[in-house]
Amino acid sequence: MGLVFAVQVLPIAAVALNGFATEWAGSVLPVGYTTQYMSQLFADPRFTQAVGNSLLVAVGSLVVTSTICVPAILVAHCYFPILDRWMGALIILPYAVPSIVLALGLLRLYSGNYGVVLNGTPWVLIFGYIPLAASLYYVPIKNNLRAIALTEIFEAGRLVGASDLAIMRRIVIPSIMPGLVVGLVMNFTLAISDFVYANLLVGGHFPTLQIFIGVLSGGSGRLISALITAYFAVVLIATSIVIWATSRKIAS
Amino acid sequence: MSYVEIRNLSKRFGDTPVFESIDLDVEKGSICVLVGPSGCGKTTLLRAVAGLAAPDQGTITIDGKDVTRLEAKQRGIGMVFQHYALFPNMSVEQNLAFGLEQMKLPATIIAKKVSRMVDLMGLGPRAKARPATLSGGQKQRVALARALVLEPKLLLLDEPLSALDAQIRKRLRDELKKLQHEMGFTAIFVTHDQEEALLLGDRIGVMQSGRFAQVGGPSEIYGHPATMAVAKFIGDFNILDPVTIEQVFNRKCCLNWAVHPQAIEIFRPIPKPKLSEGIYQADVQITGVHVLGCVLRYMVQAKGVALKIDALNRPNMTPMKKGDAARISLSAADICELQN
Repeated sequence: MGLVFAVQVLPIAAVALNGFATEWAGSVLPVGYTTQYMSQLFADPRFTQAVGNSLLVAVGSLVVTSTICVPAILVAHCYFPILDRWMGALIILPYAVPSIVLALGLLRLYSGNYGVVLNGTPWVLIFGYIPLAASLYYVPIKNNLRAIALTEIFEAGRLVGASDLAIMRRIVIPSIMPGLVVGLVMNFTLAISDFVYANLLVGGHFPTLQIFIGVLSGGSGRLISALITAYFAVVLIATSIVIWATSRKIAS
Repeated sequence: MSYVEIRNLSKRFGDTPVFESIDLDVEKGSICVLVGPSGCGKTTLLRAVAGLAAPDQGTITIDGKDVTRLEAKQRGIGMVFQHYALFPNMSVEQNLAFGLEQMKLPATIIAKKVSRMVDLMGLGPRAKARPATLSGGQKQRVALARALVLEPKLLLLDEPLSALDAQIRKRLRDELKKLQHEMGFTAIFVTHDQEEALLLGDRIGVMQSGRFAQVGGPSEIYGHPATMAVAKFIGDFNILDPVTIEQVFNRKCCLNWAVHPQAIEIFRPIPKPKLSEGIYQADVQITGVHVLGCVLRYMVQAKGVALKIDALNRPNMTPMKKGDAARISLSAADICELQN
């Protein structure tokens, strides 16, 4: 427990302290504390823009990926077991391909060659996360689906007069909610914390928090620490909202 | 015309026939048990009646209406599955209410029907519980209640007790019989347990390789098996072929005999046995004695032929022991002559 605390919490606490420190060198704790760097950060319009952009991409990606990936996983599992086997293999592909190759492929796909022009807009990021998001939904949702006797549940539901849609809505989706929450949280954190694809696909056209961290990386260490602390706070609050909202749905 | 009529029903999976030319009648308010070894086609037959498997030919009529081509949800059939198939995210009450909600009944009527069924099945204390927190017996009660609350025209039960331990199984079996008498529902019950079949069935259909080997009442099936296959499956018979009959009882005949273990009398050897018409006797050697509760099972050898004999295990009696010599007696009236 102590080791987990040391490895996971201490570095975050140290960064946060550094963001509020007046001076911190040669001592265990900072010599004094100040909100100067945090105030400077919040006064910077680039920061508020980056937070807004990151939240837009993360929430947009959550809506788009969950709308596309979750029904695809459910339908493949329930009705097309043969396709489901292919899906299991396909979802790991984006992680086997180097990021640069995937990013270049996405840029080519959305540059108008195939009738869709999204390059330079947040949509290229939102749609670009779909291949990465699929596996983050697939694994936890499949684990939940495997734990329920789906064929018998569908048969029992049909015999009591329910349509497949009603069975899906009232029984299957609530039963996989724990997996869905895990998928949503993982996808949210992927979208809000991604630097590689954000930088390669939109770069300075649409600066996200991670790109803003990159921009500040050559400057004041205190300011960077304040920014990372604020970033952690944004992620924590946003993920808590996602978990809270979906947990309420499970409880109801 | 019977309440449920199945005529000339057949089903194949590829080239393999699952069941062929099945004819079955089930009277209203009765339980028909389909019994047979694993893979004989009884569950697929039940699924065809439910509308979960499409038959290749034949008709299924329930209460005068041909339901052969109807969807499962349009047949008015309730089904209890072997592994319960309860809705895991719903409480006991919600599981029962789900089907009634699909019928768009008013909430007050749904609540009343659910509450009545919960009380009837003794599920009151667990009404708010989720399936994961219930015992196997409770889960099966919920599954039964979920089917019965819809007042189905026909209830199908697919080995509903086979996943339960012996004691709960016996208790639920008795409860099911009592419930059927009280509610008067019509049911087809699938099992591979002959004791369950004999206890629950008003009629029993013994299936072998996708066909009915015999259909009849429990006494008829138990007392007079029509074929060797039925005798081997029901009743734990001693099956004797003509050669063995001659060897043991010194009697010539051309048919096989099926003899219940309790139909053979065993006693200590007497110097001059009295022989009478229609009574066959033989000397035996006891090779084993097993206590089966109220019954003592003697395993004996009669001129090299192994037989099993059941005797009442009376209190204070001194049973014969392994290695003892004994004499057995069999009345001709207790012999079932079998067609192959």
